[in-house]
Parts: sequence; structure tokens; C-alpha cells
Amino acid sequence: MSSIFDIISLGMSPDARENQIVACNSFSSEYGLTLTKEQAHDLEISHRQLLSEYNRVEFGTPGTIQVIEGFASSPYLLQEQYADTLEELQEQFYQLRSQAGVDIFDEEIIDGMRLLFDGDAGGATELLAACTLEMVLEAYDTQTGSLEERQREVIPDMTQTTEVPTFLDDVSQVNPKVIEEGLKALDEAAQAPVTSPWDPSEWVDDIMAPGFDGERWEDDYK
Amino acid sequence: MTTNSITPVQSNELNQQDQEEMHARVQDGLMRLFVKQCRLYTCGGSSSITQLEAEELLESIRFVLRIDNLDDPATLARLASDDMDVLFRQGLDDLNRRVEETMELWHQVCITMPPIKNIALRDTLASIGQFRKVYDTYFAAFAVPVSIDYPLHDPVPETFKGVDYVHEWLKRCLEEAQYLAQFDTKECIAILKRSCPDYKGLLINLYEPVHRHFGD
Repeated sequence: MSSIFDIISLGMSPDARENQIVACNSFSSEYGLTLTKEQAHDLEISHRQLLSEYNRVEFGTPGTIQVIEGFASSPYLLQEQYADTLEELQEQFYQLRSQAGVDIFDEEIIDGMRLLFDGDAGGATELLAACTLEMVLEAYDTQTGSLEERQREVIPDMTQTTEVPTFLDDVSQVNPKVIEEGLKALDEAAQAPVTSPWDPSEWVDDIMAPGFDGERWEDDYK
Repeated sequence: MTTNSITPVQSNELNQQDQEEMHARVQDGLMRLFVKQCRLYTCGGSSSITQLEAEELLESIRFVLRIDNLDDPATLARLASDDMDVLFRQGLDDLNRRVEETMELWHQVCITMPPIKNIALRDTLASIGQFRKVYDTYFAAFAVPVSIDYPLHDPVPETFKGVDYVHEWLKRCLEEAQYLAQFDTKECIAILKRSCPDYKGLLINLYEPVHRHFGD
């Protein structure tokens, strides 16, 4: 089954991936940016080398495409350096991706890089390359709000309410027969005979209790 | 006389072709399942994972689907019999059933084992008690995410993985517990003390000294 990695990592054939890169011209051309087939070919070779260098298996949208989509509208991208810049951005993306855990989304890295690239880096890939993962994620959080802030917009702050409803508040809504049966089952379970030949409290409490201080093991077996 | 029968050579070639097609179909199904698992693993937020993560996800899929050898005709036929997602779901259900059986076995060990204090045994049983909570059937079904330090008289081979390992360990531990439960606890403790004064703190097997004394 190890050969499946070759299928996954390559995903489509190299030609298909190159075509996918060239297809990005359909939206990047709006910003005056296009790639030739040869440039797409070189980018794809670099892409595969980066996957190998960083020991990554790619199963979704290639990082190359994500970089193009994320940076095409940047005012600092010029046609003359477009292919070279994409090479450097692609490398930076995979370097950061390899440092980030699985809980960090690609979008956070790409958008964070873009914010720094357009902002403090002023379009200089060398300055962007000096940025750490923390700086990239901080740029993303600062611009888009932290995860907690974004969640708060979606989830109402329950602590603001004066009354925290519990199921006991409106017992009348619950079928009394169900409550009665539930309580009866609890009573029966508590009174059920112990089937263990040993007294469970002697085993569990004795062994599980952290009372080692001053305790003498021999006392129990005199 | 007309002959419509296929010659043996042609029959073999057809079977070979069928085999190859089946193999390709199964590979394709496995790949799709793997990609789906990767997407779940990353919550759809990443297009790539590390090689190590990929190997572990693949190992987990292999364990859930009970794949030992993909070239085995019986395995191939089983994997080709239905949609891979359906087979995976069935595998997960089977694993969950095994987990419940394992926890039942754990309960049996806990109530059967005589109250002979041994820290390693105590901690191992306490850790296994959490197995249902910590066992990841989706992404790490092959793993044993509990601490099993207590040494059995007959250790479980490393070929056992995941819930199978824990189940087998408990089965063997139960046999030892049932043996020890036949005898007076104080007598067992006396035997253990003679064999190893610090039988409580050391990583020793409680069954062996008692079995050496009383025999079968």
C-alpha cells in the first residue's frame, strides 16, 4: 500500500498539474499577470521538489495554486518577476506549512503571508522569508480577528444571560413517567448485589488512593 | 464437433485480467477513502500532511479494513464486494463492538484480580480503564493509547495492534487473575514477599512466583 503515496502526492499527472497552473491565468490576467507553459512547468518541478524536501503528501488543491490565488491581486506583483516571485512564495508557504501543526489551516498561512507581503515586507520576498510562522499567524489573527473573536460573533455569549436554563426548570415539559422510571432505575442499580468475590472498596480505594505518605503497606495484612 | 470452450491458457488470462481490474478498482477505492480521511483529519483546512501522518492514517485504514496483504485474492474479493466507505463504516462498527467487549473483559479482570498491591498492575488497569475514551478508531485505530507496563507471564506479541492488543492482554491477565484467585491472598503475599520483598513497587509478574510454588 506504500505505493499509494506516489499516486496521492502526484495526484494528477504532471501535465495535468501544469495545465492547472496555466489555467490560473484566467483570473490572474485581470491583474496583468500570466504564466507561460514553460514557467508553469518549472513551477511544477519546484512544487514536487518542495513536497519531497518537506516530506509532505498532498491530497487537495496544490500549494502552488493556493499561492497564485492568494497573491494574484497583490499590487506588488509585476509581470516581469511574476514566475520568480511565485517560486519564492511557494517555497515560503511549504516551509511554514511544515512548521505548522495540522490545526493551522492553509488559508491562515497564505492570507497571513499576503498581509505581511503587502504590508511590512513591501513586496520584498526576502523580507517575507525572514518572517516566522508566529508573525504570519499574528498578521492573520490581527486582520481577521482571533479565533475566539470570530467564534464569539457566531456563538452568543451565554454568560451575559441572567438565567441559565437547566432541564430542571421546566420539568413539567418532561413526561413524569419517564422521570419516575429513570429514578427507579437509579435506585435498582444502587441496590444491585455486588458480584465480585472481593470487596470492591477494599481493592479500589486501597490501590487508587494516593495516600502513600506515612502509610505502611504491611499494616493492612497483619 | 464444435468447440466453444476456452482453452486453459485463455481462461487464465481472463482471470488475470479480472484480478488486475479488481486490484485497480480496490486501489482506487482505497485512495479515495484515504483522501477523505486526510480531509477529515485536517478538518478540510489543509491540502497536505506530513509523510508520517499519511503513513499513520494509512495504517489506521488498513487496520479498520483488516488488510494484511492486498495481494491476497480473498482480501481483494472482500474489498471489491462493496463501496469502500460502506466497508470502512462496517469496520468501524466492528471495532467499536470489539472495544465494548474489551471493556467488559477489563471489568472482569478488575473484579477477579485478588487485592495484591502492585503499583504497575494498578496503574496499568487504571490506564486501560480509559481505553474507550482515548482510543481513536478514525485516525489511529492501530495504536494502543494506554500505558501497559505490568509484565504478563506470557506477553502479547507485537503483531497485535490497537484494540486487538488490549483485548489479548486482558485475556491473558484474566487467566493469571483466575489462577491467583484460587488461593488465599495472604498466602500469595507471603510467597511474593519471599520471592521479591519489593513486589509492590517493582515491575514483576505476580502469577509466576505463586505458580512456581503451587504448580498447575
